[in-house]
Amino acid sequence: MRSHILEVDSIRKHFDYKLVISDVYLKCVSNDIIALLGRNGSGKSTLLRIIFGIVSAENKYIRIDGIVKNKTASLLDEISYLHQESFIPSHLSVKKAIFLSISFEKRICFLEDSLIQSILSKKISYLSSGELRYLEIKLVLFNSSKFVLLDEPYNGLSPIMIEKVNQLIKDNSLKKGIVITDHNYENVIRISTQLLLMKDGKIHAIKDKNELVEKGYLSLRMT
Amino acid sequence: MDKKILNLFEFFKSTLLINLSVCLVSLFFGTIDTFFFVFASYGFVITILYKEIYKKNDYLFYYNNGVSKLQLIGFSYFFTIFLSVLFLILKEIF
Repeated sequence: MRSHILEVDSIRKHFDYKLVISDVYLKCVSNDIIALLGRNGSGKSTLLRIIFGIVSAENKYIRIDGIVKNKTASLLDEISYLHQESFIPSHLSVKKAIFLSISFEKRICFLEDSLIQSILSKKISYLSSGELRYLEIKLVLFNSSKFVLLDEPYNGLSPIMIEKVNQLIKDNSLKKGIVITDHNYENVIRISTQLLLMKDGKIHAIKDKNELVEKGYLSLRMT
Repeated sequence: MDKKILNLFEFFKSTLLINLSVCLVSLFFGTIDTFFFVFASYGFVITILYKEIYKKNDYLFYYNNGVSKLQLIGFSYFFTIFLSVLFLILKEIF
Protein backbone atom coordinates (compact mmCIF):
# COMPACT_ATOMS: atom_id res chain seq x y z
CA MET A 1 0.00 0.00 0.00
CA ARG A 2 1.23 3.47 -0.91
CA SER A 3 2.41 5.64 1.94
CA HIS A 4 1.30 9.29 2.16
CA ILE A 5 2.89 12.30 3.83
CA LEU A 6 1.10 15.24 5.42
CA GLU A 7 3.31 18.22 6.21
CA VAL A 8 2.07 21.25 8.06
CA ASP A 9 4.45 24.16 8.04
CA SER A 10 4.83 27.78 9.25
CA ILE A 11 1.42 28.01 10.89
CA ARG A 12 0.85 31.25 12.77
CA LYS A 13 -2.33 32.24 14.54
CA HIS A 14 -3.22 35.16 16.82
CA PHE A 15 -6.29 35.44 19.03
CA ASP A 16 -6.87 39.02 20.22
CA TYR A 17 -3.20 39.99 19.81
CA LYS A 18 -2.07 36.82 21.64
CA LEU A 19 0.12 34.50 19.58
CA VAL A 20 -1.51 31.07 20.01
CA ILE A 21 0.40 29.15 17.36
CA SER A 22 3.84 30.22 16.25
CA ASP A 23 5.64 28.70 13.24
CA VAL A 24 4.48 25.17 13.90
CA TYR A 25 5.82 22.26 11.83
CA LEU A 26 4.19 18.84 11.92
CA LYS A 27 4.79 15.80 9.73
CA CYS A 28 2.48 12.80 9.65
CA VAL A 29 3.06 9.72 7.52
CA SER A 30 0.70 6.77 6.89
CA ASN A 31 0.93 4.33 9.85
CA ASP A 32 1.74 7.17 12.26
CA ILE A 33 -0.41 7.78 15.32
CA ILE A 34 0.75 11.16 16.54
CA ALA A 35 -0.32 12.19 20.03
CA LEU A 36 -0.63 15.94 20.36
CA LEU A 37 -0.68 16.83 24.04
CA GLY A 38 -0.91 20.18 25.75
CA ARG A 39 -2.63 22.10 28.51
CA ASN A 40 -6.06 23.67 28.08
CA GLY A 41 -5.83 26.63 25.73
CA SER A 42 -2.44 25.61 24.36
CA GLY A 43 -3.76 25.66 20.79
CA LYS A 44 -4.08 21.93 19.99
CA SER A 45 -7.68 22.08 18.78
CA THR A 46 -7.02 25.33 16.93
CA LEU A 47 -4.11 23.69 15.13
CA LEU A 48 -6.28 20.73 14.03
CA ARG A 49 -9.00 23.13 12.84
CA ILE A 50 -6.45 25.17 10.88
CA ILE A 51 -5.11 22.00 9.23
CA PHE A 52 -8.64 20.93 8.27
CA GLY A 53 -9.34 24.46 7.02
CA ILE A 54 -12.27 25.49 9.19
CA VAL A 55 -10.24 28.11 11.08
CA SER A 56 -8.14 30.64 9.21
CA ALA A 57 -4.49 31.36 10.01
CA GLU A 58 -2.28 34.32 9.18
CA ASN A 59 0.18 31.92 7.63
CA LYS A 60 0.02 28.24 6.72
CA TYR A 61 1.49 25.72 4.31
CA ILE A 62 -0.11 22.32 4.05
CA ARG A 63 1.47 19.76 1.76
CA ILE A 64 0.17 16.30 0.98
CA ASP A 65 2.67 14.07 -0.81
CA GLY A 66 4.70 17.21 -1.58
CA ILE A 67 1.81 19.14 -3.19
CA VAL A 68 0.76 22.40 -1.50
CA LYS A 69 -2.94 22.34 -0.61
CA ASN A 70 -3.94 25.46 1.26
CA LYS A 71 -7.58 25.65 0.15
CA THR A 72 -10.14 23.85 2.32
CA ALA A 73 -11.97 22.35 -0.67
CA SER A 74 -8.79 20.67 -1.92
CA LEU A 75 -8.18 19.08 1.50
CA LEU A 76 -11.61 17.56 2.06
CA ASP A 77 -10.84 14.38 0.12
CA GLU A 78 -7.47 13.96 1.86
CA ILE A 79 -8.16 14.74 5.51
CA SER A 80 -11.07 13.92 7.79
CA TYR A 81 -11.68 15.55 11.13
CA LEU A 82 -13.41 14.52 14.34
CA HIS A 83 -14.76 17.64 16.00
CA GLN A 84 -14.96 17.96 19.80
CA GLU A 85 -18.73 18.35 19.56
CA SER A 86 -21.15 16.06 17.73
CA PHE A 87 -21.52 16.84 14.05
CA ILE A 88 -23.81 14.26 12.43
CA PRO A 89 -27.08 16.01 11.47
CA SER A 90 -29.59 14.97 14.13
CA HIS A 91 -32.44 14.45 11.65
CA LEU A 92 -30.58 11.55 9.97
CA SER A 93 -30.92 7.90 10.91
CA VAL A 94 -27.77 5.89 11.76
CA LYS A 95 -28.29 3.86 8.58
CA LYS A 96 -28.50 7.01 6.45
CA ALA A 97 -25.40 8.56 8.06
CA ILE A 98 -23.43 5.37 7.26
CA PHE A 99 -24.86 5.23 3.73
CA LEU A 100 -23.78 8.85 3.09
CA SER A 101 -20.29 8.44 4.57
CA ILE A 102 -19.02 4.94 3.84
CA SER A 103 -18.37 3.61 0.37
CA PHE A 104 -20.19 0.44 -0.73
CA GLU A 105 -17.01 -1.68 -0.60
CA LYS A 106 -16.27 -0.77 3.02
CA ARG A 107 -19.86 -0.91 4.27
CA ILE A 108 -19.96 -4.64 5.04
CA CYS A 109 -16.78 -4.42 7.12
CA PHE A 110 -18.14 -1.28 8.84
CA LEU A 111 -21.35 -3.05 9.81
CA GLU A 112 -19.56 -6.08 11.31
CA ASP A 113 -19.71 -4.53 14.76
CA SER A 114 -22.16 -5.46 17.52
CA LEU A 115 -22.44 -1.86 18.75
CA ILE A 116 -23.18 -0.49 15.29
CA GLN A 117 -25.71 -3.30 14.73
CA SER A 118 -27.47 -2.40 17.99
CA ILE A 119 -27.98 1.24 16.95
CA LEU A 120 -28.54 0.73 13.23
CA SER A 121 -32.29 1.33 13.29
CA LYS A 122 -32.11 4.39 15.56
CA LYS A 123 -32.17 8.06 14.69
CA ILE A 124 -29.04 10.09 15.49
CA SER A 125 -31.01 12.26 17.93
CA TYR A 126 -31.92 9.16 20.00
CA LEU A 127 -28.34 7.92 20.50
CA SER A 128 -26.59 8.23 23.85
CA SER A 129 -23.52 10.50 23.85
CA GLY A 130 -21.21 7.43 23.99
CA GLU A 131 -22.97 5.67 21.09
CA LEU A 132 -22.89 8.85 19.03
CA ARG A 133 -19.22 9.46 19.76
CA TYR A 134 -18.33 5.89 18.80
CA LEU A 135 -20.28 6.18 15.54
CA GLU A 136 -18.60 9.50 14.70
CA ILE A 137 -15.12 8.11 15.34
CA LYS A 138 -15.81 5.04 13.22
CA LEU A 139 -17.26 7.11 10.35
CA VAL A 140 -14.27 9.43 10.35
CA LEU A 141 -11.78 6.54 10.48
CA PHE A 142 -13.50 4.50 7.77
CA ASN A 143 -13.95 7.21 5.13
CA SER A 144 -11.63 7.45 2.16
CA SER A 145 -9.27 10.14 3.49
CA LYS A 146 -5.52 9.61 3.83
CA PHE A 147 -5.23 11.38 7.19
CA VAL A 148 -7.49 11.66 10.23
CA LEU A 149 -7.46 14.39 12.88
CA LEU A 150 -9.12 13.28 16.11
CA ASP A 151 -9.99 16.07 18.55
CA GLU A 152 -10.82 14.63 21.98
CA PRO A 153 -12.17 11.27 20.76
CA TYR A 154 -12.52 9.79 24.27
CA ASN A 155 -15.08 12.41 25.37
CA GLY A 156 -18.01 10.66 27.02
CA LEU A 157 -16.77 7.12 26.35
CA SER A 158 -16.80 4.32 28.93
CA PRO A 159 -13.55 2.30 29.49
CA ILE A 160 -14.82 -0.57 27.30
CA MET A 161 -15.71 1.83 24.51
CA ILE A 162 -12.26 3.43 24.85
CA GLU A 163 -10.70 0.00 24.30
CA LYS A 164 -12.83 -0.48 21.17
CA VAL A 165 -11.89 2.98 19.90
CA ASN A 166 -8.19 2.32 20.53
CA GLN A 167 -8.45 -0.88 18.48
CA LEU A 168 -10.23 1.02 15.68
CA ILE A 169 -7.49 3.67 15.67
CA LYS A 170 -4.73 1.03 15.59
CA ASP A 171 -6.43 -0.94 12.78
CA ASN A 172 -6.97 2.15 10.65
CA SER A 173 -3.46 3.46 11.21
CA LEU A 174 -2.28 0.65 8.92
CA LYS A 175 -3.72 2.65 6.00
CA LYS A 176 -3.79 6.22 7.31
CA GLY A 177 -1.86 8.79 9.27
CA ILE A 178 -3.64 9.80 12.48
CA VAL A 179 -3.19 12.84 14.71
CA ILE A 180 -4.94 12.57 18.06
CA THR A 181 -5.38 15.06 20.86
CA ASP A 182 -7.13 14.32 24.14
CA HIS A 183 -6.74 15.05 27.85
CA ASN A 184 -6.99 11.31 28.53
CA TYR A 185 -3.19 11.26 28.16
CA GLU A 186 -2.68 7.68 29.34
CA ASN A 187 -4.72 6.24 26.50
CA VAL A 188 -3.26 8.67 23.99
CA ILE A 189 0.29 7.77 25.02
CA ARG A 190 -0.52 4.05 24.97
CA ILE A 191 -1.60 3.95 21.34
CA SER A 192 0.64 6.64 19.87
CA THR A 193 3.79 6.06 17.85
CA GLN A 194 5.00 9.65 18.34
CA LEU A 195 4.49 12.14 21.16
CA LEU A 196 4.27 15.90 20.65
CA LEU A 197 3.61 18.61 23.21
CA MET A 198 2.18 22.02 22.40
CA LYS A 199 3.52 24.69 24.68
CA ASP A 200 3.74 28.45 24.23
CA GLY A 201 2.43 28.09 20.68
CA LYS A 202 5.21 25.72 19.63
CA ILE A 203 5.42 21.97 19.14
CA HIS A 204 8.01 20.01 21.12
CA ALA A 205 8.93 16.40 20.30
CA ILE A 206 8.71 14.25 23.45
CA LYS A 207 10.78 11.11 23.98
CA ASP A 208 9.28 9.80 27.23
CA LYS A 209 6.77 10.54 29.97
CA ASN A 210 9.42 12.21 32.18
CA GLU A 211 9.86 14.91 29.60
CA LEU A 212 6.16 15.72 30.00
CA VAL A 213 6.88 16.42 33.68
CA GLU A 214 9.91 18.57 32.84
CA LYS A 215 7.84 20.61 30.42
CA GLY A 216 5.06 21.08 32.98
CA TYR A 217 2.32 19.01 31.33
CA LEU A 218 2.24 16.32 34.03
CA SER A 219 3.06 16.52 37.73
CA LEU A 220 5.52 14.08 39.35
CA ARG A 221 2.65 12.26 41.12
CA MET A 222 1.07 11.45 37.76
CA THR A 223 3.98 9.47 36.33
CA MET B 1 -24.60 6.84 -7.15
CA ASP B 2 -21.68 9.11 -6.34
CA LYS B 3 -21.33 9.69 -2.59
CA LYS B 4 -20.88 13.44 -3.06
CA ILE B 5 -24.11 13.81 -5.04
CA LEU B 6 -26.02 11.89 -2.37
CA ASN B 7 -24.61 14.24 0.28
CA LEU B 8 -25.49 17.33 -1.78
CA PHE B 9 -29.05 16.07 -2.22
CA GLU B 10 -29.37 15.23 1.49
CA PHE B 11 -28.32 18.79 2.39
CA PHE B 12 -30.81 20.19 -0.13
CA LYS B 13 -33.57 18.07 1.43
CA SER B 14 -32.67 19.44 4.86
CA THR B 15 -33.18 23.02 3.58
CA LEU B 16 -36.67 22.28 2.26
CA LEU B 17 -38.56 22.04 5.55
CA ILE B 18 -37.39 25.43 6.84
CA ASN B 19 -37.74 27.08 3.43
CA LEU B 20 -41.28 25.78 2.93
CA SER B 21 -42.25 26.91 6.44
CA VAL B 22 -41.11 30.45 5.62
CA CYS B 23 -42.98 30.26 2.30
CA LEU B 24 -46.20 29.11 4.02
CA VAL B 25 -46.06 32.14 6.31
CA SER B 26 -45.57 34.38 3.26
CA LEU B 27 -48.64 32.80 1.64
CA PHE B 28 -50.81 34.50 4.29
CA PHE B 29 -49.63 37.90 3.05
CA GLY B 30 -49.56 37.33 -0.70
CA THR B 31 -50.50 35.16 -3.64
CA ILE B 32 -49.16 31.85 -4.88
CA ASP B 33 -46.58 33.83 -6.91
CA THR B 34 -45.28 35.33 -3.64
CA PHE B 35 -44.86 31.77 -2.39
CA PHE B 36 -42.52 30.86 -5.27
CA PHE B 37 -40.69 34.19 -5.08
CA VAL B 38 -40.00 33.71 -1.35
CA PHE B 39 -39.04 30.05 -1.92
CA ALA B 40 -36.25 31.09 -4.31
CA SER B 41 -35.10 34.17 -2.36
CA TYR B 42 -35.80 35.09 1.30
CA GLY B 43 -36.84 31.56 2.21
CA PHE B 44 -33.55 30.11 1.05
CA VAL B 45 -31.49 32.89 2.66
CA ILE B 46 -33.32 32.44 5.99
CA THR B 47 -32.72 28.66 5.78
CA ILE B 48 -28.98 29.12 5.28
CA LEU B 49 -28.85 31.71 8.10
CA TYR B 50 -30.70 29.27 10.39
CA LYS B 51 -28.20 26.54 9.56
CA GLU B 52 -25.30 28.94 10.05
CA ILE B 53 -26.52 29.85 13.54
CA TYR B 54 -28.11 26.66 14.89
CA LYS B 55 -26.70 23.79 12.80
CA LYS B 56 -23.16 24.92 12.09
CA ASN B 57 -21.60 21.60 13.12
CA ASP B 58 -23.72 19.75 10.53
CA TYR B 59 -21.43 21.15 7.83
CA LEU B 60 -18.55 19.10 9.30
CA PHE B 61 -20.43 15.92 8.44
CA TYR B 62 -20.53 16.96 4.78
CA TYR B 63 -16.90 18.20 4.85
CA ASN B 64 -15.86 14.76 6.07
CA ASN B 65 -17.70 13.30 3.09
CA GLY B 66 -15.68 15.52 0.75
CA VAL B 67 -18.25 18.27 0.09
CA SER B 68 -17.47 21.95 0.75
CA LYS B 69 -19.90 24.56 2.08
CA LEU B 70 -19.84 26.40 -1.25
CA GLN B 71 -20.83 23.22 -3.09
CA LEU B 72 -23.61 22.50 -0.57
CA ILE B 73 -25.14 25.98 -0.76
CA GLY B 74 -24.56 26.33 -4.51
CA PHE B 75 -26.19 22.99 -5.35
CA SER B 76 -29.11 23.63 -2.99
CA TYR B 77 -29.75 27.07 -4.46
CA PHE B 78 -29.58 25.69 -8.01
CA PHE B 79 -32.11 23.00 -7.10
CA THR B 80 -34.34 25.51 -5.29
CA ILE B 81 -34.42 27.75 -8.39
CA PHE B 82 -35.04 24.72 -10.59
CA LEU B 83 -38.00 23.65 -8.43
CA SER B 84 -39.48 27.20 -8.39
CA VAL B 85 -39.24 27.50 -12.17
CA LEU B 86 -40.68 24.02 -12.62
CA PHE B 87 -43.66 24.81 -10.39
CA LEU B 88 -44.23 28.17 -12.12
CA ILE B 89 -44.24 26.46 -15.52
CA LEU B 90 -46.65 23.80 -14.24
CA LYS B 91 -48.86 26.54 -12.80
CA GLU B 92 -48.96 28.31 -16.19
CA ILE B 93 -49.83 25.05 -17.99
CA PHE B 94 -52.63 23.98 -15.64
